[in-house]
Amino acid sequence: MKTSGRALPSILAACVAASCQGAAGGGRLPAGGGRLVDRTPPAGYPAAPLEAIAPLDSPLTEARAQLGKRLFYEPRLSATGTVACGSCHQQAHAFADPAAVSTGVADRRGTRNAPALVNLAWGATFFWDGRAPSLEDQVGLPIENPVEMDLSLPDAVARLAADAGYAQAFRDAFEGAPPSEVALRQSLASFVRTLVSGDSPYDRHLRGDDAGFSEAARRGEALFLNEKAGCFHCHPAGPLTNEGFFNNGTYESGGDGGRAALTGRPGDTGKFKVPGLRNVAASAPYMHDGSVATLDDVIDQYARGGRGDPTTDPQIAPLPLSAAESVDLVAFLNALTDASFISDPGTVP
Amino acid sequence: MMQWSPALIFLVLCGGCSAPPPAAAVSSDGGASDRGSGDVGDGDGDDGVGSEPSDGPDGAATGSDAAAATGPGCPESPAPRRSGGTVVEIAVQPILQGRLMTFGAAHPLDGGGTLTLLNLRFYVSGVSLLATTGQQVDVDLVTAAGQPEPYGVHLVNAEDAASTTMRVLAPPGDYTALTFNFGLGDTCNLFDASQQHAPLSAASQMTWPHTGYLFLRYEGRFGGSASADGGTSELPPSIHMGGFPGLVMAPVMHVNTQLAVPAQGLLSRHLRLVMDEIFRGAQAAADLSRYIGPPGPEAIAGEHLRQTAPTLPIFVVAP
Repeated sequence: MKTSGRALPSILAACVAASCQGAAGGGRLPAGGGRLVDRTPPAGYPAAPLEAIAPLDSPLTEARAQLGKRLFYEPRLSATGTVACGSCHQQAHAFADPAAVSTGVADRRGTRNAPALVNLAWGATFFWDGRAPSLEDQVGLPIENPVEMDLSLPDAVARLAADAGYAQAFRDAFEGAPPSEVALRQSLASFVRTLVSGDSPYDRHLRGDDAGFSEAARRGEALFLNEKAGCFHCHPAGPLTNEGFFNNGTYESGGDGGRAALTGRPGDTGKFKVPGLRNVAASAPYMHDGSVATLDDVIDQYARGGRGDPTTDPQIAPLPLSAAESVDLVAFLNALTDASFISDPGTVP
Repeated sequence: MMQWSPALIFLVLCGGCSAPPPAAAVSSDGGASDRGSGDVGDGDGDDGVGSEPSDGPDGAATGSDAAAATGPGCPESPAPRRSGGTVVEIAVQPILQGRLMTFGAAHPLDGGGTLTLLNLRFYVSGVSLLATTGQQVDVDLVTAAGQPEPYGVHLVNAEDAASTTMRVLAPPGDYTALTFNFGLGDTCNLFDASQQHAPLSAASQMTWPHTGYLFLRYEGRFGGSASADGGTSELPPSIHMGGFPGLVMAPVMHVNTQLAVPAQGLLSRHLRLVMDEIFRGAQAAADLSRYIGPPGPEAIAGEHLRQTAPTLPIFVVAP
């Protein structure tokens, strides 16, 4: 989390968050409220409102988030006018792509799986290789990527400026300023920041409500958090990601080198960002290349100790899991699904 | 495996005796709480390392020092313990077999093979300097901007070059030793990471589900023929050294050195992290009869290291 982005003194933010969390479960809107910015932090995350953790130079407002939502679903941000962010990042799939890799303009295919957009307000870096240090940096790159939306940001801005409705929306959100690359990025980032999930059975379990947390999920959680499965080394309780980069055994020689392409460090070969796992059951397929189809297959891969490449992290080793334990782990992963998040009418057009 | 709460740990160790013992009585050898006032309720910058806040050689301590040293908890924005001083920059350099290691690069080993650092990070807290007068001088870890580090803690992360330099604000004078917690003092180690910011958030990669934090996290990869690497592939590929609040403390490291801190300007030193000694400690004999931590090999290696670290030349100050 960017420490420079805390706009409120921490004690004030905590007081505000406490009152917000008292009104609704994590991630949900207060009763009677429909504002995107009113999402409450889930359990396991710092109890400060979203506005308090937005960057100081990209303050989060409802107007910016709503504009960002329009832009997220706007196909005119692609060269052909046919592909929007939401074309690949689909709400029902936790804003991931159900295809292994995404198809952009002119049927061009990418090389990496479009990740779920869940709780990124608390993210440290973005993309599978962490090349974007902020959401504002991240959101512009798919627009410009030739195999995704293939439209330069200046051209994107020109299209928006030519639309009277967008021109007014930008003026309303940015103190009278017209559309610009910065405002485009900040709007999209603001919307993504409001994609908060915090009402899964696991989240309710963290808040002390185990009504929907099955015994199988409980057993699976215990395995997840102890050395038998050892998932916590990368997926700690709470955020379920330590925001780090690890080679989890998916990389195979000659494949996508991951973070090494960015850093030039041989030791980073095959390292990819640890994703958060909320709504993981909805965001198949898995891994950086979408090469693992189901959660059962994920557990199988980890149980085998990865695919055997020598670059695999030493923490990835064959796991002594019984068949029943594998089932319990999957039950725990299923308990991370927040039905309200993947069907929220507030985050679709 | 069940999660060990401090209360459960106490019951296991004491057989349900009625009153909790003082923390020092149940801490393992050389732990941070054995030092100084022994009051583990002190702020992290003071617990276990050094005596009560003392004046530097030129009496530079402020009136707020006593309050900062005995304040509760581990504040994210700790009050500075002294009003000024000279910045001493300490650049941490991992070395192995006498040669500097570069994060993410294959480090050639004597006898063949390589070792690549994949993850190396550790906390430093509770820093003090030993003056030539024999006085222990507590100093603040400060940011590049000269402000006290959040929580009074510095996370050295070999992946992040900027973090490998830490800074303390020291009174001018002559010193013969550097002392610090190789990890977190007990007050900060109590925290629920979910509500903390860097460097105590989950993104530090130093949290674990066994209460408290890791003090050191190492993962490395051996390459090349096992028979050609002089046996180093037998060394642990990962070491996770952690503690249990109130019971299992961070090791306190004493590093002899000669430091002449000027009245103005800047003093820079290198602090070599001798990985040979890290590995030695992780495999050294240790008493695990009262070990109550997790059973994973990396945690066991970490406990071996935690118990033996104060006796090993893990850190060496160089010009």
